[in-house]
Order: sequence, then structure tokens, then C-alpha cells
Amino acid sequence: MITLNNIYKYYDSKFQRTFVLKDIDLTVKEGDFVTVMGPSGAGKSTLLNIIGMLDEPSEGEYLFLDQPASSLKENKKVEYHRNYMGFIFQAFHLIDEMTVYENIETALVYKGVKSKERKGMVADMLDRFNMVAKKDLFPAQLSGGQQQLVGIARAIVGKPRLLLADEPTGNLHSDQGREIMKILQQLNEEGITIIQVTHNEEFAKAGKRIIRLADGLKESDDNLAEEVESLKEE
Amino acid sequence: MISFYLKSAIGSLRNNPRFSLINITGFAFAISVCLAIALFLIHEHSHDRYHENSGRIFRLTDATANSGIIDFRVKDILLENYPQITKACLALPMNFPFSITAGANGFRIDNITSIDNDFFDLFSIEFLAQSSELPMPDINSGIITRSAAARFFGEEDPVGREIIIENIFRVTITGVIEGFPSNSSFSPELLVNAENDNFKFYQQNSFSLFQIYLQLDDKTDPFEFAGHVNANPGLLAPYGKHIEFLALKDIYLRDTAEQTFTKQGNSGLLKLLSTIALIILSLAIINYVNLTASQQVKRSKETGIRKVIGAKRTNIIYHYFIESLVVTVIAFFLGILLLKLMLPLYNFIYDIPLELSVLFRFPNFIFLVVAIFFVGILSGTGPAIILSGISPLKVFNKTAFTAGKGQIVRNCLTVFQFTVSIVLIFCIMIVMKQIRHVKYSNPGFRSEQLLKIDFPVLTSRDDPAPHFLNAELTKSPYVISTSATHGVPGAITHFMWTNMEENPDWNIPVPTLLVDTNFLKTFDMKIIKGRGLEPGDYGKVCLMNESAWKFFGFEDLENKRFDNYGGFDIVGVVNDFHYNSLHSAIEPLFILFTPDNSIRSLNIRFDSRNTGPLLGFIDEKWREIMPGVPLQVEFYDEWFASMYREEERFARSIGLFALLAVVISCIGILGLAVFSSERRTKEIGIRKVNGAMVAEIMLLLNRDFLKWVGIAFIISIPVAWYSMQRWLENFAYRTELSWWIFALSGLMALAIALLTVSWQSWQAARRNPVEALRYE
Repeated sequence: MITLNNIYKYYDSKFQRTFVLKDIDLTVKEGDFVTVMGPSGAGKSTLLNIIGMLDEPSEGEYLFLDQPASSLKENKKVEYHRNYMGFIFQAFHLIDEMTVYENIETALVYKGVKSKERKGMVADMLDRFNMVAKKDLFPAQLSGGQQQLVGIARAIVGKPRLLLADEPTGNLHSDQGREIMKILQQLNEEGITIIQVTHNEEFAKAGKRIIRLADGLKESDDNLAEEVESLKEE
Repeated sequence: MISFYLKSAIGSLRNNPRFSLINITGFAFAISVCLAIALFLIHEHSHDRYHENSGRIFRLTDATANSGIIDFRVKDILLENYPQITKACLALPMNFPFSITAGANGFRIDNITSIDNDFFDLFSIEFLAQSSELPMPDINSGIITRSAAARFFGEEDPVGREIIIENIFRVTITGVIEGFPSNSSFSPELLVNAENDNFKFYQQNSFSLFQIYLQLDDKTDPFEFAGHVNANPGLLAPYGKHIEFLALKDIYLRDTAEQTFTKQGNSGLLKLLSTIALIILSLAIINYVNLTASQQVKRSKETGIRKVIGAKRTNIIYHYFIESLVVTVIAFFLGILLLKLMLPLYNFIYDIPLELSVLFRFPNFIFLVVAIFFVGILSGTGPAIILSGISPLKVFNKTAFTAGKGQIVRNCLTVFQFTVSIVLIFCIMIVMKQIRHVKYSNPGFRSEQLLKIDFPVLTSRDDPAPHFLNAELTKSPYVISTSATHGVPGAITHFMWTNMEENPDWNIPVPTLLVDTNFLKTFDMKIIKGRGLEPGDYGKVCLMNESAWKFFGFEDLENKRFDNYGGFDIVGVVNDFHYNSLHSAIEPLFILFTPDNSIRSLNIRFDSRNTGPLLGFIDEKWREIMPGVPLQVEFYDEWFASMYREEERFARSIGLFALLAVVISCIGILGLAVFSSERRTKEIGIRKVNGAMVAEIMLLLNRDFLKWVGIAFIISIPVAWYSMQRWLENFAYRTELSWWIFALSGLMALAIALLTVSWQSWQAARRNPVEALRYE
């Protein structure tokens, strides 16, 4: 689904070039659940942004669904966002002046889904996350965990194939975090490919694969699923 | 889809109540001003269009003399020769105060119009009562408006009743009409029959001049037709040669003829008001752009999120457009409400009754909707362009906001707002200064404690009544002196040729006052050369004013004669005094010692401690001597002041608009202040942690605004200077464009700006720095 070949990201200032990502190669298959880890400033978020087409690599090749995906026109990128990708953020990033219902619905409106269909799809989401009673509340009236649920609902209501999560549990306490992770695992089982960035070792293990970055370089790439398989074989 | 955009627009307005309130209020004020001006413009442009055939009615202009009046016989000549003319009528409005006697009571009316019966065929006039088929069956018939009838006769039926005009002409009322609306260039209260020779008011040589109105058939082009008539030059001789046709709808605003008689609009004022409306509207639009852009920090997060979840740039642009449309529509309704509340004020300013319902009539309403839409789109464009370009990455990188896009544009807009404010403040100060200058400047005679009584215009030369009254009034202890004159300073009606022997070039028509011996004493004028008038001089000598002395360049008064009217020796020179308003310069004038024509006015110098009893005494004597004729007393100081009503109206409207422009500009800079303190929250926090005082921070925040006011001040000087120079050209006596007024207007703008900005700076400077830095 995603192929990164020799991806570099750097910023040029007057006398020096600062590297954020150096020579990253990465392949993510459909149905994978990848966790990106690393200390602050390692380039995790930049990597996620490049995959999410919010940022451009300085060098290298990016293929999304076997199509070249770097330096696309803005509207083409929006097409990918509408149809293939969903985003979850550490700070939730809900629109403050909209209700829970409207926040979830907005993504569908931009996608051009008809009003009747929209109603059904949003209702399904509210059902799924047990938020029917809260649909007319504003984000400020919800707890952090509930806000993140709305964030997830908004991200997946358009049935994306890839879910990008930037420290989704960063602003939550651990119980809420665990719940969010459980939901991500469920979504993955249903077939959505997930790439998440996190600092938390425990939540990192929720995925099938852990990539560790340090100073812009890929340090390791462990396939947890294979490990489990090999353990079983032993 | 639309409902989705509407919902999020309303949501975002509700979520920023302070911003929305400021924005909508600013717009609502601007819109109410623009609508008021629009109402006034509609009213002025609608003149005379209410007549059913207004599109086919034209007034004849005597192109040779550039006059709106021509001999009445031209009407019949044209009707006989050209079948293209379907109807024609005569009219001559006389805009003078006339005295009317009805029964035992006296009244005054300001306009009598002399017309023929065809007038009612051409124009759409509604009759409430009519005694016969023909509105005016004989030459002494008259038609009266409903309001005048109520004034003269109360509840009684006016038809068949008799009134006396100026104590001489008897007119029998044969019809009552509803009256003329405020957008008619005719406004008579009484219509009399032009076939009566007494009512052929305007005689010149052997001609009786009238306005002639014609209705042309549908196929005839007025311009071609005029050419056709002019190709036959002998036809109209001796009454005229070349004629033109002026459309009825253009009479009020586009008549260039010299003698018009009908009410004339002020197209210059209309242009000025349209400009002001556009400026005020643009100030409001600028505010919207500035205020919305000042929400950048907040809005960019929202925009980023929308983009990440699938909004294209066009979606974002729609959001901003719908939002600005919602604001303008809400402001529009509020503006209408404001207008309804302020309508009495506007009516006071414009001196006419404006009606709100006019806005909702057919073509106006469509135009209004288009205009509101246009304003909405125009205001939305700036924010849409600036804010839709924000990269969604901004949401992730919590980079502090730098100056931001469009900063230069916004500063330019602010400078523009300040410039407009300073220019308007300057203009209103100059207008007020000029009005004071002309109102209270010395007219050359003592206008306080001086009044005049006017006799009816048509009082005959032999009428003894004025002499009686004069003699009676001198007996009053309250009267210091009286003078009977024909013509007074402020209203000179008499012009004569000088016939100076020395030089044929000096034979010019000059205004002349006909006076008695007490004239100089009563008016308190000074003789600066020669001597005054003495009782034995009656009919033999005259005085000239200082301007005439300079004009003729005399060195002495020996053997100088004014050779007309039997000949007068010039015995003295009197100081210059204003015999018109201060719009016009003082020119040569002669004062003849002979109230040989009828006495028109009685001027009374009185003791102001006894004004009440004096007026009672005058009233009593007048009733005795002039029964049934209304008394008209005018105090000179009040009367001269009233000559500047048009200017005061102008000052009032400019004053109101200047105030609104300043308020709207303040709203704008308030928005900018909010933006700049929000943007610098972190900087302020750090400075405070490092020991900066509140005053230092306020100085830091206010410094920018000082700079903008300074730039605006420099730009405004030439603009204000030029426009006021042009306005002052209307006056012969001008106040100075003093430098201190420039300085004062600049300072006022500065003070207003600082007050507005400081409120925000104060709040920003006092905020707890911990709060500001917490978010990092």
C-alpha cells in the first residue's frame, strides 16, 4: 500500500542543512498496524505527515497504492484525504463550534455524501462508540477520552483504508488510552491499515510492527506478529 | 450543502460573540446610513415621475435666452402647427409669500401657481371636490389644496368660498385637490387661472411669460422634434427663436435654464452623499476584512482541521463567503431597524419625510438584494483569500504566528480609515467655522434689536396704510426709531440703470434701496464721506455705498449725479453692508431718498427689554390698519442667520456621517489591536517575566498605531485642504483654513485611536504572564 524509497527531509538555512529524516525506506502492506517510536525530534511526526501527504519529502520516492504520491497537486491530495485516509491527533482537533454530530458529519459533507446517507453513517458511528446521547454536545463539554472517540469516529466515518494517528493517547490518562488502543486494534482487524506514532511502550505493542527512529534514521523494524509466530513455532 | 455551510457559519459567529457583535454592529450602522442616503437619493430622483404620462411630458426651454419661461402665445402656435403635440398647458409658479384673506382671517402661503385648465389634462392630479366639469370655469376661479383649505376654512366646505390675494384679487374656490407630494417640483397651495390678466405674473416688455408643458405622442423624439420646430425660425416670432425640450423627470435635477421657477434639487449634494455612502460602506467592509483576519490564530486551526478531513481550498472559500453573507444579511436587518429608529433624525437632516417602505418596492428591492449580496461577497473575499491558503501542517507544528499574510494590505486599509476620519473631522470643523463666520460676522449695520414688518407685495403706491402704521408706531415708547423703505438689506428687489454722465461704461444696473430720512439712524450705518439725508432733500439726493465709490473711482462728490428717476445728487458715501447673504460679495449700491414707490417694509429699531409689549402693540395697530391681512414680523438677526439653512443642513449631515465614520474606523482598529496583542501574547509574557512594566508594554503595543495615524494625517492634509477650498468657493466671505484646525483634527483622530487601542493594550499588558506562557 505504501512504499517509501530513500526519503529525505531537510531544511536549509544559510550555512547548514538540518536533516529531519535521512534515507528512510519503508513498505507498509494493506492491513498492517505500524507503530512509529523514537525520542522527541527523531522525525516521527514528519514521517507521518509525509505519509499523510501534509508534507513533502525533500528527496526520495513515495508510492501510495502503487501511484507516485509526492509533489501532487493540492486537489489530488484532497481526493486521497477524502477517500483513503483518516487522521487522529494528540490534541483531538475537533471543531469547537460544532456539535459531536456535526463534527463527524463534516468529513462526509466534504466528501459529497448525500444527506440521507450521511445521517445513517453518522448514526452508525454514534452507535458504535455509544455516543448517541452526546451527539448534540460541543467538544468542550466532553472528557478527553470522549473527545478522542469523536476524533476516531470522524476519521473512520468515511471508510478510509489508512488511519494515521499522531500520539492519539498523548493527552489521555492510561485507562482512556487503553480503551482507544483497543478500538484501534478492532479497526485494524476490520481491515483498516493503521500507522501510529507514540511514546508509550505498552501502547506500541498494540500494533503488529514497531519502527524506531533516532535522529531521522530508521534504527529498527520489528515485526511483532512474526515474532509471535516464531515463538509459537518454537 | 448550503445548510451545512450556513450551520457552520452561524456556529462560528456564535462561538466568537465579541467578534461577531463588533462586526455586525459596524456593518449595521454603515448599512443604515447607506440606506438613509439611498432613500434620499431615490426621493430626489423620483421627482415628477408619479405623473401617469411623465415619460412623454416635456417643458419648453427658450434656448436663445436660456430661460425656462416663454410667452404664453407660443403654446397655441405650437398646438396649431404640430399634431405631434397631443396636449399642452401653461404654468407659472410664484415662490413668494402671499397674504390671503379668507373671511375675517389672514393667512400666508408660500406659493401661488398660475395655470390654465389644460394643466389638469397633462398632469395626474386627484380632485377631492369640484364645482363644475371644468376645474376653473371662469377667470376668477381658483383651486386649493386640502391642507390649505383646512387652514383657511377649517371644517367648512371650501367650494364656492371667496378668498382675497394680497388684499386685492378676489378668487372663488371651484375645486379642492389632494396636494402635491414631496417629490413634486411643483408645490403650490393655491392654483389660479392664467387667463386672468392679473395672474399673468411675469410681464416683460409686452410679453407674458409662462412655463409651457407639452405632451408629445409616442412616435416623436423630442430632440428631433425640437430641431424640426427650430428649422422654421419665423414661426415663433416675435416670442422666441430656438426652443428645446426638457423631459419632465429631468426638471428637478438637470435643468440648466436660468429662470426655472420650479423647485430645484442640489445634484452636487446628491453626488457628495453618494460618495459618502460608498466611503462609509467601504469602511465597514475594511473592518470586516481586518477583524476577520485578526482572528487568524483561531481560525487557522479550524481551517487546518477542515483541510485534513477533506476540505478543498474552494470549500474553505465557500465557508468564508457564506459567513460574510450571513453577517451582512443580519447586519442588513439590524440596519433597517436602526434606520427606522433614526428616521426622525434623517428627516430632520434632509428636511423631507423619508419613507422606509420605498426600499421594498419592486425595482428597489431587487437592487437592494443584489447590493447586499455584492457587499457580502466583497467583504468575504479578503478573509477567504488570506485564510484559505493556510497549510494544514500549521495545525501540527505549533509554530508561533508571525506577522501573517496580508499584514501590509491591512495596514494600508487602516491608514485609509484614519485618513477618511481625519478628512471628515477637518471638514466638519471648517464647515462649522465658516457658518459661524458668516452668521456672526458684522453685516455692516446693527442687526440686533432691529425688526421689519412687510406689507403685501402688491400694496399700491397710493395706499395710505403704511404711512398710518409708521406714524402710529413712532408713538410707541418701545420704539427707538422707524424707517419706511422699499427693499431692505437682505431682500433688495429694485434694480436701476445708473446713467452716469461721466462714462457710458458706467451705465450699469445696480441694486437700489428707496428710503426715508431715518434710514441711517434706524440701521445704525455710518457715513464715511459727505453727509447724510436731511428732510429737505426729499426726492433730490442719494447715497452710494463704499463699493460703488471704489467702483466709479471718484475723488470727490462734487457734481456727481445719479441720472435716472428724475436725477439724484450723490451727497454721501455709506459704509459697505451686506445686502445679500455672505454667499455673494458686496457690489455697488445706491440708496435713493424717495420712498416714491410703494412702501414695502417698515424697519423698527427697538429696545430689547420690551420686545413682548412691542410685538403686542404692533399686532394691535396692524389689526386696526390692515384688517384681514396677516402680519409678518422678522427680526434681522434671526433672518440673516436663517439664510444659511442649507449650509447648516449640510453641516448636520456631514457631522453625523463624520461621527459614524470615526466610530466604524474605531471598531476596525480595535480589531487590529486585538490581533496584535493576541499575536504578541508570548512576547508580552516574556517581557513581563523579565520585569517590563504595564506602561512599557502599552507603549510597545500603541506605537504602531501612532505611526499609522501619522501617515494618515500626512495623506489627509492635501485631500482635506482641496475639498474645503472648493466648498468655500461658494462664499464670497470665507473663513481661513487655519493650520491649527489641521493639527486639531489630527490630534482628535490620534486621541480617539489611542483611547480605543489602549483599552485592549491595557488588558493585554495586565494579563498574568504565566497564563500567556502556559500554552507553550
